[in-house]
Amino acid sequence: MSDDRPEKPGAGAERRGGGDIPPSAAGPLEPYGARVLLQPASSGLEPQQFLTALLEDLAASCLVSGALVIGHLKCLLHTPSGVIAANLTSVRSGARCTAPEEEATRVLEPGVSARLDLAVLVYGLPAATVDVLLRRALAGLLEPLEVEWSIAGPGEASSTFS
Amino acid sequence: MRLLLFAGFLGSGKTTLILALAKNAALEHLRVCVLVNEVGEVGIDGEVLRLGDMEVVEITGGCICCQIGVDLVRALRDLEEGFEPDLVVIEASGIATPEGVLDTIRRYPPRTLTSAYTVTVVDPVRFEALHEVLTPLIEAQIVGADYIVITKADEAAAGEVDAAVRCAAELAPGVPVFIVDAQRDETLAEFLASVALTGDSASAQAGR
Repeated sequence: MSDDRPEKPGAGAERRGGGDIPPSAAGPLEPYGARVLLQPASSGLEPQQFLTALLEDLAASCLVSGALVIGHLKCLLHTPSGVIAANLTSVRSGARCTAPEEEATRVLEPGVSARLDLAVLVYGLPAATVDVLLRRALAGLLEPLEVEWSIAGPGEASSTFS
Repeated sequence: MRLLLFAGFLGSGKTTLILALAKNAALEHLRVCVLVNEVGEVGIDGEVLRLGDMEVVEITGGCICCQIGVDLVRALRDLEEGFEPDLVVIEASGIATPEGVLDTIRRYPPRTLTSAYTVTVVDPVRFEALHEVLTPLIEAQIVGADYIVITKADEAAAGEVDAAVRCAAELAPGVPVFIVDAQRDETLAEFLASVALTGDSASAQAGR
């Protein structure tokens, strides 16, 4: 670097070792992402209640299916009137939703479409398994409410990280 | 151009802190841009930051610390030329190490770079469990920090914050540690924005 730049990027650099990290004991991380299209048919859908239940169901089923570490489950629900975010980092803490005040209690009415973008980052579980678990969770939550749904993609892992 | 690298495991609270930081930086009339690197094809954090009115560039397709460093270099240069930011915040993926990212920046530094500091964000609720099974990653993230921010203090059980602080002090002695929760994020963000604005050293800002 030239004279007008720091000799090192912060004092922390002195303590840093090499950049390569050995494989973890938690197994590989296969990021999973899906884009889900939703449309209530007859009755409305309460978005926050749905998102909370979805993330908590999915996290629990990931652990039951062999995931060693829940990294992060996070999603955005795009509705015609706004966006609601939700995320989960542990089953103990549960899912958290954040939404603009006017969106917090708004119900997704029949015939209105919404798009759910979902990322699932768990260690030790193949993305294909996460896909199965997601479909199972969506069916369990949405079909009793007569909400039509489909996974538009990507619906699969992009890379594997050890 | 100053640079703040936010590292920390998945879900530790990096995006939330960056949003708070950016609000404060905007009050100082700083031109701020965020580079976000997420693993996986469906990016969420970039969209969350955009909803918070941030200028966001997403780097996808891999991890910037070990796979796509060239994309980081290109993004920084494009920003430097096109946006001329006062402050660039890099949100690393939760599986990145600060050293891996900074090594790339050291090799190919942006022309106007004046300082670069690393903020490592730690979730005390999961710290001990994560440290046990992801030891190399968790320790590398702490070892490389210029600041350590322990989030979610209001959610942590008794002893969990202390355990995280103890480990941080062992792995990164002398590094300022800040404990925040939902009520204290704004205070922290003011501090970070001040560092970004003045360029004073981490130790000086922390009164050390």
